Amino acid sequence: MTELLQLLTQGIALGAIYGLVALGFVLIYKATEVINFAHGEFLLLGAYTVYAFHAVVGLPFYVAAVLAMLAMAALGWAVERSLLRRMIGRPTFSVAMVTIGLAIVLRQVVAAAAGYDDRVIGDPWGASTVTLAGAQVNVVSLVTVGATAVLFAAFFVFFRRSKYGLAMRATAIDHEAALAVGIPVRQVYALSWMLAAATATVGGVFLAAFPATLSPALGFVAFRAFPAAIVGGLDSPGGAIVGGLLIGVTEMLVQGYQPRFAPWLGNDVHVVASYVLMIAVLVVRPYGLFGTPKVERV
Amino acid sequence: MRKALNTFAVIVVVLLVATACRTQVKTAVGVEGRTITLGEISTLTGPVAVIGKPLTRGHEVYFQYVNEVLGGVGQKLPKEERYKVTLATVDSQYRPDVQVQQYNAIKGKVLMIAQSLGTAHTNAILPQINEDKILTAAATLSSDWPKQKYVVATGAPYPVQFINAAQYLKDKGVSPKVGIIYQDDDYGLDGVKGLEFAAKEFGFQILARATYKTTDTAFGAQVSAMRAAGADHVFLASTPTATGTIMGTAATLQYSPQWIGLSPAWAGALVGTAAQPSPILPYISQRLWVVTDAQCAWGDVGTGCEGMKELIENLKKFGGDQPPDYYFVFGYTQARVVHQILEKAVEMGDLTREGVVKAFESLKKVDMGGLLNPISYGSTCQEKVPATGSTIWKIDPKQPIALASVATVDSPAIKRFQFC
Amino acid sequence: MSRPEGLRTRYGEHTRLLRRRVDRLWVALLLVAIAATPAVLDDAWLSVLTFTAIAAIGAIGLNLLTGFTGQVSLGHAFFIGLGAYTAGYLGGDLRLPVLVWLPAAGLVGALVGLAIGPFAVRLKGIYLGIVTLGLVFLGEYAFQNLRVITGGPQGRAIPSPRIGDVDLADLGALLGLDLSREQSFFYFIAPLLLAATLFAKNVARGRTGRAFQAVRDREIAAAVIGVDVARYKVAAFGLSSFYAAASGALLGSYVRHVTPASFDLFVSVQFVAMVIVGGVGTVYGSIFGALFIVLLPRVVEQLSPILPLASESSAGGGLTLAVLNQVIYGLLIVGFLVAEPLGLAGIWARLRLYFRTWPFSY
Repeated sequence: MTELLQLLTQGIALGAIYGLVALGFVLIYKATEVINFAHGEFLLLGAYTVYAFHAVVGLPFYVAAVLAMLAMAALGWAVERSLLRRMIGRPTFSVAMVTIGLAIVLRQVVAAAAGYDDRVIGDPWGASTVTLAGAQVNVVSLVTVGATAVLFAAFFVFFRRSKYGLAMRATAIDHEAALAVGIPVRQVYALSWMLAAATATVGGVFLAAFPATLSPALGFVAFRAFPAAIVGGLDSPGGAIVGGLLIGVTEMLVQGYQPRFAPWLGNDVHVVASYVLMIAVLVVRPYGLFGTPKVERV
Repeated sequence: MRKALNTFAVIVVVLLVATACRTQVKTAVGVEGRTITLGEISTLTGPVAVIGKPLTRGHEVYFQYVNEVLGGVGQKLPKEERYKVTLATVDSQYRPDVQVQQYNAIKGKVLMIAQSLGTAHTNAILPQINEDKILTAAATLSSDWPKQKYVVATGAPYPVQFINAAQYLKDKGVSPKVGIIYQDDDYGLDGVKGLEFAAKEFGFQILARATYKTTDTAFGAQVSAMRAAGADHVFLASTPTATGTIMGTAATLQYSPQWIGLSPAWAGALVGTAAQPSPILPYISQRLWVVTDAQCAWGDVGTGCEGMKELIENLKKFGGDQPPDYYFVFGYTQARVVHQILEKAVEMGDLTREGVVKAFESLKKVDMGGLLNPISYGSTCQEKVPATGSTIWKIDPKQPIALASVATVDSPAIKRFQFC
Repeated sequence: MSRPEGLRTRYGEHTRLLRRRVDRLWVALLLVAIAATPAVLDDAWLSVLTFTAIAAIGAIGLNLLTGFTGQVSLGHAFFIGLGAYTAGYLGGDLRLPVLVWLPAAGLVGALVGLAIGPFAVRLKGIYLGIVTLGLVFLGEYAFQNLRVITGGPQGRAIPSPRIGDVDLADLGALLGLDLSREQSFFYFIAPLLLAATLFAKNVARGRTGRAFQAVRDREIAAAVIGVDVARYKVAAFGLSSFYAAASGALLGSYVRHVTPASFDLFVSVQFVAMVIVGGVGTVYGSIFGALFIVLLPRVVEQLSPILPLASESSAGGGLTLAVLNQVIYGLLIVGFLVAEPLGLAGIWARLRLYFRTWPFSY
């Protein structure tokens, strides 16, 4: 029982991170219908930027985090302005391929600048733990879950209440109609990239915080979190969180129990489990659990 | 007059013989004029570059020392006739397919491959190595290398490291409850192989096994599995990033077995910096051992550690900003071995690929200078005895690579391990 | 009286392979050039060309699916691996000749492709791309765990292409000539690439190809004019998987040792890059694309003396040759897509037009 509880809490902590990463995919897809394959590298760059401001420049951690978010938002803006804007109207896979090219470049640049050694990002939570209902939990995990919840709530309000949120939703539904009613679609595109890049900074920090370390391999998590975005539905921020938790818990439970109860399945079942779940969901609901089906006209 | 002529003739003959002696070193592919080109297929980008870069740096520093201080390969030749060494370094990106492409790109111009990083990656070029009969120094500690005619192994294979760790436990009178967490690749499996052998030899059971994938970020399930099985000694065939997270997770779960990691599981960077120590530092200084094939600790320049003295001097001279690093030591030592093979080949007067292979086979013992545990070479698998000694270290941030020696072990059981 | 260039009055003229008499001359010249290549280039460059030819076969397959039918697939690596392991099992464990294992590998790929096709029919656009991405992960898992066939993480050996006692990668021994493995393998692979190109070209210009393109351009419109969308989508998957698996079998047989790590997402990405850089929806563009992607690292290495490198040492910090190589790779993909949507095939077509209408540029 304690073990199940322990696995569940760890699954939720992992799921919160996956949810944060998936949120980055969703923010961009929702407005621009682009899958950003460079999102893993955004996480990586975000975490290293925090590290640079905090450990290298010597700013307090929270100041460094805010500055890094601003810097990353600027990068998101620059990427949209210089590359993605030129790709509007091109086939989806061409656009996806641009982000893959970008990912290759960013990954190398980060590693060339920072080296390959593991680093300590220097977050204020350290290795402290608390006991929750008999399970030991990292304070970092709690903060992650909390931050994910806050971010999600913030985006919820933003999409429902703010002018830009509404503009983003309108753009997501129909670019041309949005343009026709005077919504600055270009600004909306730029905004969604900025928000995703800033969110990636938060995700990157939690990925690099205790018990993990900051290393150039951090960006690979994007493909582990990918099923989360799909299961939830690529255009649903709420779906991203649900998908993240679902995938995180599934992964942790499979990893915990499969070697004991179904060893004949072999190694690394937990990695494919999330993809199997994703494919299963897509077969039943082609646009994910909370995604919006597209109506196609001749 | 006639006498004078005779004397002259004798002088001419002597000179001719001398000249003949001078140019008698046979050369072919990979040697142009007085320059030897060696191939280096390493991993210089991607996460494994954390190993590949310092390792390659070790080669570079050592051969710069050979060129600039020793004047080149061929210590018995006059200084101006010695062979300078240049390295043709290519990046495998830690991909077996790229390894093959890179091998093909450089094989036409190198005398031997002085570094081929990665077990699967070296296996990928093995068919060609055997066909091209090109001697290759493997920068991987797989236990399969003695079987290969053209592969030069350096250091103690992974199974040896675990067997020695188990021997150490036995010597201390511990009857361990053992678990293992390993990376799901050939490296991890080689570790398992050693642990299984040790389990049979020393009569303990492996209570829990768990694998992870390099893209895993959470290790809660693996650590929980070890705890659930009641393991009090958990072996790790992991990479540093995974080791760090596993240690952190275990600390969180308040699970404190003795962790025993293979050499690739450790990187000095895991302790953090003086200004920003890692949050796992208190835990790992208590609970983690690392087994390596290094003999002398970094900076230990006492008797038996002459190689370390030389290494530190050369690092100062040629190393630039290279920090102390286990893989630097490994690369440096490997380059030293390659150098000794080349010296032998020059001595035998045959600096062709066949000559280099012959030199390697006739080189029984090499001088490791105390950097790594000694190793024997030969022409058959039985003659090629991998290093059998290991050193067990604990974590101590005050040491240069954060490792302080606990014990050196050379288990007699290793003789029974099947390398061939 | 001669007709103006490019005016065609019958369908037959539009779909003809060699439209003008002079094209035959070009083809003849090309064949001579291919035959002469192993005599001219050294082994290192021949190896690059062999990798290109193998990759081109896979890229043509992907182009039939993505370029002609408009179905995004990131799962190509899985089929490449499937082909390689099938070749290893049939050729190595069962000791069958290349005449059996090469088509068999293709067929196994095609069958799996056909089995996956129905999923594809249900999914659209990027969602399809993601499911096929899942295929790569499922494949890696299968390759790791089916040790009897795949050898697990250590990988397995794949045999050279043999017919009986004759090793096609060592024709020198048969003919009594001094041929290196590279030269021999080139002569083995070049006709296969030609055959693959010709077949794809024939599919593309025929009824099937036109149906593929109709599905790509507007699915509903295609259905309205009577194209069985589901059937053609599944067919495109099968065909593309056949090419991929055959390419994988050849790759395995050339390299002779494969591991699951050789078939990860990166491989899929490279194939998509080949298709896009070469030119979406063109057969010969795939060959350009393959050449470009395989050749690129070599070219960057050749340029290294004039490149502004921050680090002399290849293992030092900062911008090394290895890093720069990949940065340029990434930048070229991005640059190509942003600046030249038609890819190398587009540039090629424009060049041809330029010379054909020279000196009157349009």
